[in-house]
Amino acid sequence: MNNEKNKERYIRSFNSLHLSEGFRERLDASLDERKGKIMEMTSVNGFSRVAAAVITICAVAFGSAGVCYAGDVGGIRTTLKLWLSGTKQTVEVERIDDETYKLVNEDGEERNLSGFYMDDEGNRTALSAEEMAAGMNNDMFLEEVDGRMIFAYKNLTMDVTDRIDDSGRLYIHVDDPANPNTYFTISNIDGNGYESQADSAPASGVEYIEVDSADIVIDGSEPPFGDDDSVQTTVVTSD
Amino acid sequence: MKIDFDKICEKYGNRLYAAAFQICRQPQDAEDAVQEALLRLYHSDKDFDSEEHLKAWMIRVTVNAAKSIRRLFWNRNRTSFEDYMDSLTFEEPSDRTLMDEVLALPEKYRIVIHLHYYEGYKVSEIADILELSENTVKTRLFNGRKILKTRLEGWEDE
Repeated sequence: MNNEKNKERYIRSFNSLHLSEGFRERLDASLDERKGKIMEMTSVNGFSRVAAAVITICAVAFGSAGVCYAGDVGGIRTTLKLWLSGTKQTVEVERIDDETYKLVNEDGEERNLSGFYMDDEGNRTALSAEEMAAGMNNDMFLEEVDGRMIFAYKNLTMDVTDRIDDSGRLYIHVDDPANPNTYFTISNIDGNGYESQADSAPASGVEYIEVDSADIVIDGSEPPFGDDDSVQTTVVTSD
Repeated sequence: MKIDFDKICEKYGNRLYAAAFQICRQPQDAEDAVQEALLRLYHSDKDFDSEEHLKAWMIRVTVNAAKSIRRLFWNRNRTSFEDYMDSLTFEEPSDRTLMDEVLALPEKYRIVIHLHYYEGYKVSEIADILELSENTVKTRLFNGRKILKTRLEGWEDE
């Protein structure tokens, strides 16, 4: 009986919570946006459990690394070779919480990344450092440089500052025959970070910025997509 | 079981929001969690045995989504918890006090308390939804109730 009284009070109280008026419209807009997307498990550089379509990577802005990083803090330190900011870099990766990693490059520049994938029931699993590197949305990266947003894909970079829509989103398709997952949706771009997804097929009704090797600046003398090594991740793990 | 998506949104939207709010304590994040859960339902080809099965699945997905969203570290413009609570309309002043006290509980107690009192789930059902042992659920329910009993006037012994 007492349980029923408490329940009654509880329900009356929490019945005061309601979704906002615009919720259904936003839901419908999201449904339209996702309609037609292929959410399939895809092998990304050998890490087959990572679904390229649902990887979310959150990047935090650059900061100065200072003198204390990686091994100084303890734990497993991993060295990865990957594309960042249009150049191939060797970075030391250290896990700083369940799903956040600190990456420090050879110049001591530091950035934090978090990454995860979700199963059908929304259970979230953190990516390992290697999965993070392999699944870094297929060598795509976005960063703010001198107030401009720079999109980087492997060794190619382009200024996309004026292409970001009012809701902070950017849709880019890179024509790379070596990589099937190059329909990029980048969202929540706010200078502090972004979320990105890479899909193997375009979302219906979405207009992508089409990028091919002729449209973008090629950094250095490397061929745009001809370097086989560009999709490999070298992993060296040490304590 | 055939799913009428619009009906599900209508029928369960606010319930899922209340569950998500227990985790996030932030309206935009809670709505994002509900949206994520509904999108998952829309795109899912899961076969539900019954409406109860569907509801439990929706709650599980919403809770998981809410936990994920809460763990993200984006700096977004957010409505403060206090401002949002002040914007709600309660039937009785004590209803606001009850919600304040429930939301002040540790998260692990909040969601168990919510699923029991609001959704009417038994210990075994809560354990199933949250993927916890029944003993853990019992302990959390007991501890949560104990705290509420000390903080809420008129909260009955059970």
